[in-house]
Amino acid sequence: MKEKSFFDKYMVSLAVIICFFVVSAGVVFGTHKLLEYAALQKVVKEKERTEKIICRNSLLLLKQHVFFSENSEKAIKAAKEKEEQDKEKDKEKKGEDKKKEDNKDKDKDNE
Amino acid sequence: MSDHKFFTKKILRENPVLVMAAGVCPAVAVTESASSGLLLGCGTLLVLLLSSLPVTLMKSIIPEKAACASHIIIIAAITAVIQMIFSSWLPQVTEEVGIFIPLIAVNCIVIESVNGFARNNPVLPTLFNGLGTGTGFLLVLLLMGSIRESMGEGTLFGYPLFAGDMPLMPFAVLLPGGFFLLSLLAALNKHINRKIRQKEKNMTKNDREEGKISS
Repeated sequence: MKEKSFFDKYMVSLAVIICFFVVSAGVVFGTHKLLEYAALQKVVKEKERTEKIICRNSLLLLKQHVFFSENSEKAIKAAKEKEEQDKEKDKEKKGEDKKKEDNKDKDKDNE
Repeated sequence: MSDHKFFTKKILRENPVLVMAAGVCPAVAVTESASSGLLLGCGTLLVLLLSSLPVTLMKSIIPEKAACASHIIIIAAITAVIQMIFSSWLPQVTEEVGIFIPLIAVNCIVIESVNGFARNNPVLPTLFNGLGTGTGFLLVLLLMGSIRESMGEGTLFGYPLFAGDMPLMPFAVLLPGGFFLLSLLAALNKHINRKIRQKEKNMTKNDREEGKISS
């Protein structure tokens, strides 16, 4: 009877070991990719969250800016009006003072 | 023997560390803190369970000559997966445990459980055996880690336990302290086992006597 060769003897065992090796490598590689994807998703979510926060903050800043600019316009208008009113009051006062002085002069002349 | 007895037996009566003295090296080296002990215990438990299952399911497919190599490939792959998951979720503790997580692949508890038990038994006993062995190992690591950390550093899982700055026994964190504690736990376990056996013997004696009287 012919003796079995080395390959015939261990072919099945070798095939099984190689099979297990390939499957195990696939499992490890797959897990690595999955974890990598999960980490990437986490980073993306974090980025989106920070972007949202930045957007919200900039919106708040913009609102604040609008509020301040509107208020400052109002304040400027109010200040101008006040200035005009003061000027008018000054004019009126000056006019009254002049009238008084004229009256005084007239009284002196009459005397 | 009923299946769940494989689980209970491995926790106290045949504890892998305290009775079989297997996995002593990681048990002493890693248990400087409770968190690293817990992590290594969980890792070993997961590797045991996840590698026992495919081995016991495919025992008829794997030829005798390729058994050992195939089992080691399976264990190594699962250990690599567990290590990747741990290092992505708990990077700090995984770094603390260091080389002992990849070394789970060559832990004699895992090899014995997978190569010796899972290959020759059906699915349920294998699962219970793996669960029991892993839980026994995990409990010992957790207990040792908790005792050593609380005694040696005055903290538990990083939280301070005592008001004073000085720890009770700084010696506990060192390696000799680990061996000392392990021997104490082994002695305690032996004492408990002896008590249980005595109780069981007394119970069987009483049963026999009652049987004689009734007959």
